[in-house]
Amino acid sequence: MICISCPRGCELSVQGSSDNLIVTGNHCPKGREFAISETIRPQRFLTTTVSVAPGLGCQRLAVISRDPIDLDRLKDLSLSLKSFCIDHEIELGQEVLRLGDAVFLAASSLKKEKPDER
Amino acid sequence: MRTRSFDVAVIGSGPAGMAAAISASDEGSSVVIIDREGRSGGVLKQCVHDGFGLERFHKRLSGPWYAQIESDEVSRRPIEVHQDTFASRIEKTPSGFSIFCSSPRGFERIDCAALIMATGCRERTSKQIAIHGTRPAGIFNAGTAQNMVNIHGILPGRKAVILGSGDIGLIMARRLSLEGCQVIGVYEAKSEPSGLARNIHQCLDDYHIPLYLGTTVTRCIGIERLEAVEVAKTDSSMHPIAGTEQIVSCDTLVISVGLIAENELIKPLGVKMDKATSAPVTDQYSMTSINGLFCTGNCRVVFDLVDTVSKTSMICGRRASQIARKASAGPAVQVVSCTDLAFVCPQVIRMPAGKVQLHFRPKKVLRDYMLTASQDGKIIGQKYYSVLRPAQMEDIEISADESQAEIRLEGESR
Ligand SMILES: Cc1cc2nc3c(=O)[nH]c(=O)nc-3n(C[C@H](O)[C@H](O)[C@H](O)COP(=O)(O)OP(=O)(O)OC[C@H]3O[C@@H](n4cnc5c(N)ncnc54)[C@H](O)[C@@H]3O)c2cc1C
Repeated sequence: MICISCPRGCELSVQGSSDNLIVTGNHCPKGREFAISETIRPQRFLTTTVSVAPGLGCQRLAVISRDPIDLDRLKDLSLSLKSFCIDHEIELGQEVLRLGDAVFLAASSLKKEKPDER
Repeated sequence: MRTRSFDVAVIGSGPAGMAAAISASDEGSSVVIIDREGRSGGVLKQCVHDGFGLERFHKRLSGPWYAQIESDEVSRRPIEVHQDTFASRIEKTPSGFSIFCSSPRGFERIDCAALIMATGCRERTSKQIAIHGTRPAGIFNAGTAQNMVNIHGILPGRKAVILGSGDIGLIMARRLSLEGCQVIGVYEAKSEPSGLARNIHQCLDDYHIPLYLGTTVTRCIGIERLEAVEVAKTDSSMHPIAGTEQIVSCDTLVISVGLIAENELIKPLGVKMDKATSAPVTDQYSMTSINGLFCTGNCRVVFDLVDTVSKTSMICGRRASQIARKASAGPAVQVVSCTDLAFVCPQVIRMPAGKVQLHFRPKKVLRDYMLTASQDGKIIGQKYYSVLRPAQMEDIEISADESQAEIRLEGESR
């Protein structure tokens, strides 16, 4: 498997049983961590966008999950987020919504447009 | 015409322009940033996936997050930001440069002593590759599709074929899947994928999207809307092989066949170009062959990582501020590349230089490779690479101080 922890992309191999996994090919501890979680329970951060009400400077707000999410849940979660709409100002990193135990943070800030700015 | 004057003007408020503006301002210059869009961040605004800033912030940020950190830094400084302002022409003047822009305030002129181009890159279009057939709706560049989905929230179609295995194509395959579009496959004319291995893993394998190597799209079918594409196997020189054609039904074709540095504005100034990067020749401070004219970020060379874009652009901004206040550029020596490398950037080094990073890509996969930089027969940098891949930009540090002789790169597989 290829490590996705950093751009280096080490080729990892995992051997052994689930309570004693031996990882080779990694150049750092992150590679080991990744190989183990990938073998036992693959997870990813989910990034997507939600819609934004008019007057806040853009049509979509990029969001990112606070924690990694099980790989097989990403698609359903992403589709469920489609119905959300943000209608207030947001700071970078602020929690914007929750779906079950999945928490999503704003990946940029939203400010009310000032009509006299232009 | 409304005219304003600054020490340093930056065109483009992507990561390159923002980093350059920040360091030029911190160095004491008056700075303006001009961008044609209504929000800072450049192409990062639409790169909503994570994986940015690993080197600089040691975190997996998404593109908009990285851009927001940088634009917050810009707003903390006395930097003027002109949004919705399009730079349409540049003139050389005795004291620097004049930029002619159209803005919501009308047509204006901005004068500056040093000019930093940070205009990014654009995508090659389907016209630049040979696909036959009709031209129905449903054919998009990957960047356009990314903009539609992530900036405007519009799905380009329901059933997509992706042509080209570059990173943007792979990332779009995942993005479209997450948005509920069926991705039939990624087709790549070459026998090796162009994108990074980690993107094949997390964008295709995670979503069970097949990758067809040595296969290309040869024809588009459909009148109003795309209905199908014809794909065919390719030979070693990437030409379609007759008799291997197949019809693949789809309503969307996403084309991701490479990026071109965006430099149309400064070509008329007679800036010296490098064929290997299709961009201006630059020194280690990103200055072009014209004194006071800088070119940084993806319009200098198409970088893999935004972290490197920010780092090199900080160096650029500081230097531009010094040159604006009449610092002398110093004598230039050439960097002579070797045949294994597709390009080397910077192409010239201003002396005395001290430690400098040279960025390069190999032409093909090289294993067990030692690269040596020398000047006058003296070794000034050496690095060993267990593997070099065209998809991954690499660097070597050199240390050049005394000699005015050209810098030669030589490599060998051991
Ligand atoms: C479609 C696409 C997707 C990408 N995806 C990724 C990715 O997933 N991961 C990654 O690491 N890298 C990605 N890249 C590379 C990415 O471009 C760089 O990491 C980085 O954003 C380059 O920064 P930049 O500031 O040089 O250019 P940009 O971010 O492109 O910024 C250029 C800015 O210049 C402005 N501009 C251009 N011409 C003018 C003009 N005449 N007048 C006024 N303003 C002008 C533009 O509006 C823009 O804001 C992608 C590139 C593209 C094109």
